[in-house]
Amino acid sequence: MTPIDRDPRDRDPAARDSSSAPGALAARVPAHAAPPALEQRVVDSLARRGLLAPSRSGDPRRSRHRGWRAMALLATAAALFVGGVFAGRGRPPASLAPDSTARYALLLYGGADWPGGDAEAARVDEYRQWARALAGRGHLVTGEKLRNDALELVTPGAGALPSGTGSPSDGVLGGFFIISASSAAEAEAIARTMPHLQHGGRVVVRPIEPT
Amino acid sequence: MTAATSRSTKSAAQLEGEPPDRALADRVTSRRDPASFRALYARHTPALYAMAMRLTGEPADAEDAVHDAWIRAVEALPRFEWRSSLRTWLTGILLNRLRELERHHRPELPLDDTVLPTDAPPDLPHDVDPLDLEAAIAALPPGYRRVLVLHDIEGFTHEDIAALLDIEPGTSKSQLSRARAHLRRSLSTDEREVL
Repeated sequence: MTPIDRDPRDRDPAARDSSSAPGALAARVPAHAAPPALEQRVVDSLARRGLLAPSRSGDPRRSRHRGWRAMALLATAAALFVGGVFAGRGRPPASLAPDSTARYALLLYGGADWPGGDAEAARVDEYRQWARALAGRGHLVTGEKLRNDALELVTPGAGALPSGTGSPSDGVLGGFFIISASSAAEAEAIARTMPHLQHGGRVVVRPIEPT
Repeated sequence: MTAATSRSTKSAAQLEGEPPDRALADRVTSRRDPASFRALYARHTPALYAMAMRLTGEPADAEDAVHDAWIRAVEALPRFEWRSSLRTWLTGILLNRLRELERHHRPELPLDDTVLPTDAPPDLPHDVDPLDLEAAIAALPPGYRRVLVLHDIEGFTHEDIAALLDIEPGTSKSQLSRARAHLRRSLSTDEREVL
């Protein structure tokens, strides 16, 4: 392999201004942030292979806050126990809120059926504009509109049940967005701006558990 | 926040005052020091993951590829001769892993070595939605997509790409030209409705 001496990103930035230069599209594509849990997964894999010494404290940037976080979790658990209620119903449980950028699923239910024709195109454009603004702020990971027809799989060997009559107004999942947010509160704030709510729909916010 | 500003890749100037890659790598190989590894990880993973995402289009695949690339890199680190930057070396390892994963999913078309003119810029409409652009890139055939991502997004030259992919620079140029033509056609006729 021919030696390559420099990191491509360290080259003269002016060279990128030319639209045919290397990196010409770099500023025109969405950003992608690695899942926070990946770092610990890699470190654990390396430690298991003996390539890194076992780390007692894990990520030092996190360990500083671990005591406070444990106390906060205990306090939350106590409050739930004493109150006997599911505190914060209707919003993501605070105890699941990460303290670094995490991913959340915004699940779109209900709302008026898609009108068809120009009205539907306008509504699609409205959602797209919202997604574009979100992507511009670095929060959008992906999003899709789901068709109403579906195939439902149940017990292995029992075959598949076509369920093509559902529609979003029947409570069928009509679409989803995956977003990144620094907290459950931020994810909720983003979800509240979703135009789907203006069309009578429901948006369910669920934290994605790193695996 | 634009893609460019959100990238946490640091330039050489920004790295002033931080241990250079080689010093951190030495501590990883000689002392198996987790803190030094985490520093390297934090420095290089944002760019590696972003590239893997653009080449696979799947967060789970990108995550697995970056994970595996780091394992291979640390295993091979004692043998790394520092004739290239660590970033470029890591990129090569990641590309190898991604190609292995791709072969499991679908057979790769042979690269077309016909050299085409490459002076033409990407020449895409200025109002292309970033999501549409990314989707169009993801839909490119793997060989085209790889060269376009490495050149037009990651900023590698054709000589770099030739070294990374073990191909001729002329092949890289022709693949880029074809990739851009694909992209222009796709974006000019793309009627997909992305929510």
